[in-house]
Amino acid sequence: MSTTNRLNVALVALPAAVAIALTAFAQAPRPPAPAEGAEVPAKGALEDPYGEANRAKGGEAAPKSKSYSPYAGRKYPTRVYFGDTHHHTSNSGDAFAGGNRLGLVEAYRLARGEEVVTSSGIAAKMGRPLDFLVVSDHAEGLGLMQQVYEGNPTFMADETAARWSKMMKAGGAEAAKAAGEIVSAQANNKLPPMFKDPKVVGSIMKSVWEKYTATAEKYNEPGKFTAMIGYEWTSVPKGNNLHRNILFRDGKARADQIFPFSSWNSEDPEKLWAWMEGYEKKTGGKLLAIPHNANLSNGRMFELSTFTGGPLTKDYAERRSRWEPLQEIIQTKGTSESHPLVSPADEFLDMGIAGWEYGNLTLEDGPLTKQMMPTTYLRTGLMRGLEQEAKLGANPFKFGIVGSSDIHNSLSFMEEDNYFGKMVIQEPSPDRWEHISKESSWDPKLGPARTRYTWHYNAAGWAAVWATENTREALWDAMMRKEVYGTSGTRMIVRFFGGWEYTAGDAKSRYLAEAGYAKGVPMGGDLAKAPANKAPTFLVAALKDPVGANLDRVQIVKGWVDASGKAQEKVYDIVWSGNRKPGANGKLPPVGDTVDVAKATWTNTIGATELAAVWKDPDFKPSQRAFYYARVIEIPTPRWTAYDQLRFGVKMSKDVPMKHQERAWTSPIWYSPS
Amino acid sequence: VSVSTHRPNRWASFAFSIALCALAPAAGACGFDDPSSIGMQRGMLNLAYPEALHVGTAVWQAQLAGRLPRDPVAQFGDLSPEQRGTLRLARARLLLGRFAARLADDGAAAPRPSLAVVLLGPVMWSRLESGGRTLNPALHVAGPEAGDVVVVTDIAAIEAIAGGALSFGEALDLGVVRLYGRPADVAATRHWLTGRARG
Repeated sequence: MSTTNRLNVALVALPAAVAIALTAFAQAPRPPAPAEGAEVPAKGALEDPYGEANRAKGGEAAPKSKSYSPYAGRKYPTRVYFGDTHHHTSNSGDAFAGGNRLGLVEAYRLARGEEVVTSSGIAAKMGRPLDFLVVSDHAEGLGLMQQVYEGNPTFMADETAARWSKMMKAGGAEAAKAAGEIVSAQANNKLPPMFKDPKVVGSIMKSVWEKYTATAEKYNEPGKFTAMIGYEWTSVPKGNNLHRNILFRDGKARADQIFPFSSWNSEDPEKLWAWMEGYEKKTGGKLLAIPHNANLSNGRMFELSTFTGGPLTKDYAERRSRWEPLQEIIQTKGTSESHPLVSPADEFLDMGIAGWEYGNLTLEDGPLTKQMMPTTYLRTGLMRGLEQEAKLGANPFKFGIVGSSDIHNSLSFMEEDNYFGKMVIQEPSPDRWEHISKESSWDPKLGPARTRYTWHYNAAGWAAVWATENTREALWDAMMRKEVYGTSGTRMIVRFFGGWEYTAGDAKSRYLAEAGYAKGVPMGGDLAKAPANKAPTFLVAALKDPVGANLDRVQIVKGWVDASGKAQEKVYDIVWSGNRKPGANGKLPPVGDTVDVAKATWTNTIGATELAAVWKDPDFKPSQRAFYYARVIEIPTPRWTAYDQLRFGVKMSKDVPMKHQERAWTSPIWYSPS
Repeated sequence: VSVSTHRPNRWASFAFSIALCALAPAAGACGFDDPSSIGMQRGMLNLAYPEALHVGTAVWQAQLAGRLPRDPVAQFGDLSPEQRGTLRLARARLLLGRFAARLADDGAAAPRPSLAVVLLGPVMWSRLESGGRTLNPALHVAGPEAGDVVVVTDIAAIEAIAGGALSFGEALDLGVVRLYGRPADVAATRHWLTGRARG
């Protein structure tokens, strides 16, 4: 397609898409808000718990509409909802100790588009509100720091806590000393034993949890804004990040029947899954877990053994893929897609690697080595999953992809020109870029000194969810069926389907999604049948963020297991802007660069407003299991550091990146020869 | 993949930093000593002194508005973090010394409360201990002492006040200085400094 034709298509398609989306939104039914404490009806829970009816099976014929309207009887999702599945407020001990004074109310108000004054005293408002928010405060000591600070009488039985309370009330130097002791104890996991004693803190944390769920209930507005209940399980053995965010499909009535399982109970993910299963049996509700920061796990996120060192089994694989249908690919603390050392042919692994490749979450336990990388990153994890599936008969690492923030200042502002950092100390200031967040000194066993600065942090990312409506149930169901994608902060719209019968005309159709669902499966699905002499085809379409940058290219990342049983990977450029031709090395030339770093601007004079194509795998072998995911790359734009440099009139080190190419990653589609 | 930390002359700047710290009468573990602790130390400040962190925002907003001088070290992007820290520490000591001298030179007749000044950027504490009509400065100390009035501010405000470009009252109005302590002591301090700090 020529640039002119593409622009013509874009001029027609963009307003049409917006109009359709707005119409669909306007016509969506608005369920009444549930009464306080009442359970939200679990739509479709009995007959179709995960919305499987919304998927057409690969190879099935398109259903014939009996109505004049081509949309009559349509059941598939027509809107993508953007949100954050990973958000901390002052209820998290580390957030509170870091100065955060904004709680759930402020978090929800901000996410819904209101203006709030931050803990640093800055008036703040999002560029665009979110469709949903999961506040996922750490379960460990949920709200306890706040309670100590406020002098909850329960803690007066403990000599240390009572002393802290007295010193805080004294103010001045005494308060400073107490604050120092509290913050240090929290950071070093040296709070008095009573803080982990369920007999003492159980009732306090339970009351915090019930207030937590009540606030979510208050701000949950089905059809308009979803406040999904969640929390974070914070397992971090030897500094290796194994954290999981737990998302409830349910409302307060069910969530209040339990108290979150924390890493104080166990750091073993299998124990977490057992607890999740217990919750579902007890309440009839539904849970899923989203691990994050595989990049900071030093090889443990996708290790080929259980947490306790046992062998992986089919049962383990089935339980893991059941309870952990998603992984977080990007957030403020870096990108977990892959690393240049294990994916050297991929020239787009430059985002969110610097600083985060130094080691695990706490920079303990030695640096990240090349040997650890095959079980550290998501792409390599997907590859290990294929290998394990061949051995075990089930895939333990079969997950979809989201992005989210992990912010600890209640400000989910993943916008480059409106970035408020992860922690309160990283809120806007002239010198925030150079703050040190983590540092390890030289150690004969652990290697050279390593330092992470604020400038290493990403203004990322979002979870994009193809759901039938903006409700807890519909969003959760979409997550469970992996019909989701992650972005680095852009709100581009991406469709991705796999099947056996897509043709080039499907990518040009006004009914692209109709063809996508009718002839195949959406992102997160499985291609189970390989018709004779057929190779899988993929229908992919991307529409630029309405207020963002144009698109550079769409790629498909394929992983497969070769004849020797070893997983391989390859990145294919599928469709791109302009008239570029791949070079002799097979690489597509760069799209260009319009960024003016000094002014922190760019222009959409390069790139495309939309890209769509059908791609057939030229290397397909029916006997080889495989996965495919799409990656959509924008043209270069200024990074948050460029905005800071301009606004504050400072000069940053030469190694601070000032621009990047924002992107989206879809959940994979798997092919299995069985 | 290269490690992207920029560290020219690391040992030289480290040695210089150690030498400067050694000059301090009682060096506390501030952000100059342990830069990775600043986040936690600011959190501590916000616990002990509610909304203390608002001072940092007020300072940069005043800088952008031209009411306070900007940090000259921020213009040296090629310096290593250690070198920037070293320069800032030297500058902080110099300006705090001038600030203390200016307050001590006010000729106040009444006894004045002792002050504990904390620079929010590096969370560096200094004390101006009242000796009746004199003030005895102790720079880069561990923290406040009992009975001190705590002055939360930052080096740009100290520079402006010490240089006579900003009165203490204006600094309070701008929010670039906040006072904490016993109400009577805070009131006495406010009366003392807003009336006499500008020469």
